[in-house]
Amino acid sequence: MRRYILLLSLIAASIAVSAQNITIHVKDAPAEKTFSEIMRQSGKNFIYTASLLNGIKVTVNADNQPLGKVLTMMLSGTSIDYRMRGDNVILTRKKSAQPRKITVNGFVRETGSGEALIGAVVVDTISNTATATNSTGFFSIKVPVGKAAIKVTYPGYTDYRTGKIDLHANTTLDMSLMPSKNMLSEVVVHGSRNRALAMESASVGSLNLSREYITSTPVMFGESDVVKSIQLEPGVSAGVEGMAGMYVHGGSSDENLYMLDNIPLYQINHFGGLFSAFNTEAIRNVDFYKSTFPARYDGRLSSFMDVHTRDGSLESHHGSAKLGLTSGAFSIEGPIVKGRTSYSLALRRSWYDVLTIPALAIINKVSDDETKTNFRYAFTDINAKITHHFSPRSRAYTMFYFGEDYLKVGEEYEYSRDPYFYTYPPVNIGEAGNSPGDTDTDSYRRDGEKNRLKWGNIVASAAWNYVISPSLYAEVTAAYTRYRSSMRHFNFWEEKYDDGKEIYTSDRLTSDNRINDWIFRADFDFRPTPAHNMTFGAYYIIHRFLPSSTRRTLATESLTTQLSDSTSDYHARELNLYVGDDWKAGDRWSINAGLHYSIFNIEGAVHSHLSPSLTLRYSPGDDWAIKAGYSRTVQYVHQLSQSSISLPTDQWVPIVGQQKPSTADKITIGAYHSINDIYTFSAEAYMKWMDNLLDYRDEYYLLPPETAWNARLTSGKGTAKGIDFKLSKEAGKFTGHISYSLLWADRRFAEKNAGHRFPARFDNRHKINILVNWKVNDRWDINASWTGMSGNRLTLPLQCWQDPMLAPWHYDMMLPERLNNFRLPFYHRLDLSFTRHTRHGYWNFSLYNAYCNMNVIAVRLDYSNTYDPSIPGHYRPVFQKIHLLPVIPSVSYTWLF
Amino acid sequence: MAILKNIFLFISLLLLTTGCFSDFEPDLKSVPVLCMNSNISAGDTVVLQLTRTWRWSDPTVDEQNIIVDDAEVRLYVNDEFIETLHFAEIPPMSALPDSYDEPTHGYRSGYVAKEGDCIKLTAYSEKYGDAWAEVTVPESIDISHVDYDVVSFSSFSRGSYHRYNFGLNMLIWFTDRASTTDYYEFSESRSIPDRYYIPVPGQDNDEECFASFTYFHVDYDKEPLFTEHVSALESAISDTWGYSIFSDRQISGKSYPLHIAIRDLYYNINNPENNPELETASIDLHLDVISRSYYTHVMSVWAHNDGINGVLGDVGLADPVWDASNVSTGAGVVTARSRATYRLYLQDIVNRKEKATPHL
Repeated sequence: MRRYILLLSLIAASIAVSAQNITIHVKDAPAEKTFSEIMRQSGKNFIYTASLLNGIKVTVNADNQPLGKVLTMMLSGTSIDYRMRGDNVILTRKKSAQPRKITVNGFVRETGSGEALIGAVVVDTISNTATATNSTGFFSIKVPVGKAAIKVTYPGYTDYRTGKIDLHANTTLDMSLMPSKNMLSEVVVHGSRNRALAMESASVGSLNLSREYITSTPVMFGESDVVKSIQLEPGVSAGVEGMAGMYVHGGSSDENLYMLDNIPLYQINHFGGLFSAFNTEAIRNVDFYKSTFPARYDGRLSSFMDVHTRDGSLESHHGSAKLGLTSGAFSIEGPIVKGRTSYSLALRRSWYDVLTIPALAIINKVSDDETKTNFRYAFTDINAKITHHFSPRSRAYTMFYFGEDYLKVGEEYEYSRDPYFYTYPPVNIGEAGNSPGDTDTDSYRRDGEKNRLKWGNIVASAAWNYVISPSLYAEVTAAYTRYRSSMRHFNFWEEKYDDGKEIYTSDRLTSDNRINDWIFRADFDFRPTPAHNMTFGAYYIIHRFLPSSTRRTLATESLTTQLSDSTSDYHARELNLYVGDDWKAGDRWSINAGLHYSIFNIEGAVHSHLSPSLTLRYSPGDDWAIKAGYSRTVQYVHQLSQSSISLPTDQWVPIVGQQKPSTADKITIGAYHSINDIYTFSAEAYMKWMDNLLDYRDEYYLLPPETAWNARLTSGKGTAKGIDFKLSKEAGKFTGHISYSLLWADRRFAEKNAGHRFPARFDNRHKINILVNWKVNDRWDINASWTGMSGNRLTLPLQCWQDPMLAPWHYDMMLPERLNNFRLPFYHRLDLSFTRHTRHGYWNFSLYNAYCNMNVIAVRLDYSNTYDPSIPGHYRPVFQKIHLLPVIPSVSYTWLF
Repeated sequence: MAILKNIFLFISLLLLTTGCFSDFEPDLKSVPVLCMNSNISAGDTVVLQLTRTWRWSDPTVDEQNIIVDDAEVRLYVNDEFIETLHFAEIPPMSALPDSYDEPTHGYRSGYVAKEGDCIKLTAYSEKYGDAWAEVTVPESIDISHVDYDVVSFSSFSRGSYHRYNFGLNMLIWFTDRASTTDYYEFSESRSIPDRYYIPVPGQDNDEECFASFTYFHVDYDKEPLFTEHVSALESAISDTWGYSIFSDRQISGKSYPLHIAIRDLYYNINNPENNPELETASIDLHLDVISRSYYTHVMSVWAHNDGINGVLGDVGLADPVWDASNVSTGAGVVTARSRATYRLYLQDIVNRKEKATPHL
């Protein structure tokens, strides 16, 4: 033991008054000698290590002064400190003054492209201080003056090391990481972003997905999709098979905030939800939060997903072209001004109409029928971004996104012959009668129907980020985001007769739903000390909602009437202020606290809400972390969906009138364990209470289309609870994860299900996911994903009642049952994906539902095919499970240039 | 039309043919309850068909063994007890004018419903519990007049036999009441005089005297009110064939002509001379003012079969659309209607047309 205690027991038996004053005058005298004198006068014991006073000289002039004052005078300017405990004076060496610290900041980017690397870990290996880059790749770290050795790690990239460097003042270091050779399967990985999130941050249920991870996840038709990758996470239900739905911790689909570079995107689905709006080619990486949320996020109840798009390479032009079974994609990026300005452009378009348009043209041409049919469907995504680096401290970008689904469908009949005998040619009644001529006539009939539906988003934003000081980073953004759904229906009938008389009727129906948001925001990242990582900021949104505008125009020869619903544009203003701190309170504890305050002002009604969040992390050992958190979120806008798929009728609406903002309170606890820095195990339990949820009320479908949209709604409550387990491996030749989640979720609405509580539709009680990525060699990757879960719930009618025979169609009527009274059988599916890398690109071969387990997606009421004379109807009425989607193979080729 | 529906059906068929079905019995309990069906017409006695509900998969069910014959059924009019109904044979429930349904059994009262009556029916069965429903008989609205054009007219005569072939393009005028919310149903029927024979002096065979007519169909397609319940998306995927129910929300308080066409009408008449009763062959145009329960039930049937929710609900992609009921148990519907009929005599049509375009 280096430190040993020397007890000096110089007892002055005759002097025993502890409060005795001291008189002493010495100059540059040995400290040990001086203490002996003071000891003699004060009667105190002095305790110190033997070496403490070696070479120490002191100066003091005191006349009848208290002991404390004398010691303070005497030891000032020395490295010795004292404490008085009873009759003892303990002398210790002053704690050495903290060495002066300086700030090292900068950006971490990918070599060549200059793409920011989000969440890269920056460590000074000498002082053992670490931090992570933010969403623009910026970092700021405090290190002691003197020697430092900065190391940067990022999954899929080779480490960057500065070596030992001398630092004496605040320094900016921009560092570039080289993608590892076998980047697709993340073979060479030192450190893991998600492991760091699990073990070192106070965040619960957060995830970072790289583009490579998304690309390697096997999905239907080989169309990689970020939402479908997230569906494999515990606690996330996928909804209907094959769809890009996301139901997080028992929430609804509109309770997820999807963002594109921090700007909300309202409509995220194409083709009824089969594909999400996020073109993987345009993605850099994705942050996803499902349990506790950073202070900057609010406005949705269940989750937040921020998709960061690619900036484009500052060094060279390159891109890709992909052709798949359902769509094609093209992307290109490169420098505009080398080293300073870059662009990135990604296009994706479905190509069903490439087949349907010529096919219908041929059919219309060759058909004897005088019916002309047209049909066209397409979806399109365009992502574009220009980034300019003014200086190492200053960077700006402008981003644009356009996504749209377009459906046009119609038929037109035209008859130039006698309009009243369109079913078959008129009968020539005979020589004695007069017959209508069906060829020699000016009369005609024309009728038809035209429908045009368009729905999608536009996002445009411009942002400037600036390093104000080594510790303070700022980003200022102005953005516009718009969702629009527009439906047009036109039905017409024209007739003209030989006598010149004309008949005309038409029915024109238009329906629109829009949201226009102008967003202005300022976000700051402040790292005052190594222990604190603060974020604060504000944003202001000017909303303009058109929840529903339905107009019906009836026109006849004698009358024209117009009906429209009673709603119009709603103007709203939303102000959000937030502050959050990620505080490392020592080696074992860290705290993440945040406050998000929002004010939503719509048509004079003001709603304000404070959303606090607090998460504590305790690490009992280096490999363990325990977390507990609480968060509250609020939601002012909702998407009303009539079904489990994405339709253009899914309206985005604000809260109006007596409606209150929806809120969710959630408590979460989690335990995390890292095994050899290779495997990460997590268990996260949660309980969520939701209030003022909105949904369609019972029998809303009986209201006419032009009924005010909010007359169809009811509000209610919901709860969800469960636990998510996950074991993941993000390094090595094999990567992947195994997860299990347990969930209970229910709802209760005053005017739905007769006011009774009912289970949520996607209350998938048990869910297991296994994802394996295997890098076989430089040419081949194999990816497998297995999903098994309790089936979705649906409402199964059981009892029938007799048809009152009032309508044109007759069948046995169904007696209402409790909502979601039946759970479909256990669902399981294996998807495989094989990637073959070639010289100029790669082939992807995939099998959806590889072992062809045709899962039950619904139940129908039908009759058995077997004839049975013993029963009244001769065919037995049965409940039938509908098994759908067999194995679906697909192939795509991506050309890299 | 609805080509999109056909495309949906094609895709569904494609998926379903690649899919498969398996029979099963869900492990869910269900209990039968009373079902009350009654369509009360002003001017007719009140009858009620009382049945029980049954589990869909029960193979033993037929129309007879679901009839509940031992219940106590009471009739109240304007909150006043009128009588206890007795079990007897009742007309078929079909609202179709040319129904061939057999009479059935139910509960009959002696009370003749009047316009404005608030009628309440209650039923109690020891086995199935109780049920009640209430409806107000609406007041009728007359068809004020009918404008029509005869199109594609042709005729044939041989002796005393005449055949006419034509189409009718009608504007059927009525005026909605501004003071009430009204629901309507349009329908038509044929009124054909009885065939009879008269002796012909000097001949062994009697002379056959008849007037008859047929037509291909009544065309509702050009009347926009019949599709007013259809949303823009549903217009693309749904069918509205056969529905002639509408509300007054577009025409409240206004005079409006329904646009109805009759196609390929063949009118035959033999021996009309001195037999004026033959000339009473007519097309009867009915404008029923119907109760809200009638309207919502038919709308729910449409929504179930052709609405977007029903189409998706049937394959588990949406909450189901329930067939609307105003009975306390949720089973059955008690409705009411008041009918106004406008009679269009075929001989008048023929005479007018022949006057305008005499035979060549």
